[in-house]
Amino acid sequence: MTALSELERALGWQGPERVDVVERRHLADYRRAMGLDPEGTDVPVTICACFLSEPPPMPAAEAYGLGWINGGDRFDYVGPRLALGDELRSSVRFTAVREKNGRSGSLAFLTFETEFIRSDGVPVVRHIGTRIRR
Amino acid sequence: MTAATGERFERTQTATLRTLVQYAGASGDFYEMHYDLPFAQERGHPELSVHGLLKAAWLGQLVDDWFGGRGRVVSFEVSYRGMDFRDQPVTCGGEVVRQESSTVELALWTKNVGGDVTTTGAAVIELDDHTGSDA
Repeated sequence: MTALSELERALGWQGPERVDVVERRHLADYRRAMGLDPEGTDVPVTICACFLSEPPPMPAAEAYGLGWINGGDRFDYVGPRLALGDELRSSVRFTAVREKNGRSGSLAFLTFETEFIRSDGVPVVRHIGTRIRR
Repeated sequence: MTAATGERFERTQTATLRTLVQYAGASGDFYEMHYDLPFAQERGHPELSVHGLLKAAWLGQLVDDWFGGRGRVVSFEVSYRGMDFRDQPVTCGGEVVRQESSTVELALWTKNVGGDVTTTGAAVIELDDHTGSDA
């Protein structure tokens, strides 16, 4: 079985469910890393990046290439803006793979989708990540 | 709030090793490429790379600061076209490319110190208080 076919067989893989809370100390750490005042309480629009499992813990990915590169990220804000105290459930899904052959060799582009749902059942953010194995 | 097509805004950020470690801790992304130099070099990179999602965070904040809470972000996306490395300034920029009624579309980018575009992106903002259009 080739590494690509192993990835294709893994389509539909779903990571374990996560439960994350936008809590004050975590928010301060994230804001500090961004160069913002850690005492601020505004929740950056990209906070859900902290609730992704990176790199994606999908065993089949390790069969292709030596390492990960981040190809891109999309966030769709489908509900109210996140605030301190919000609890989110999510689970990443592997939804697509394509291979490209470039000058530096073969690359596999993997698409992962995650929906973040607030504890009251309201979907708030959908994330699509493109992760590259090479 | 109204937005003029062509309006641009920029900010420069630099990630030190400390920044990269702080971001790894906050995000949970402990991929060694961002703090283990031999690991990065074994994979052909000259230096520790800046997390793509840290560049996204900088761009997201740039957008947030630009519209100042007078609306909401509908979507935000980035595509990483090149790596940025520690201790090297990254220029984060945005430009209003379209406004239709209360919806504003922004083009986003990061550039490295050599002027190469290392990230492209886009955001859609829904403004709360639209009083005019430059269309």
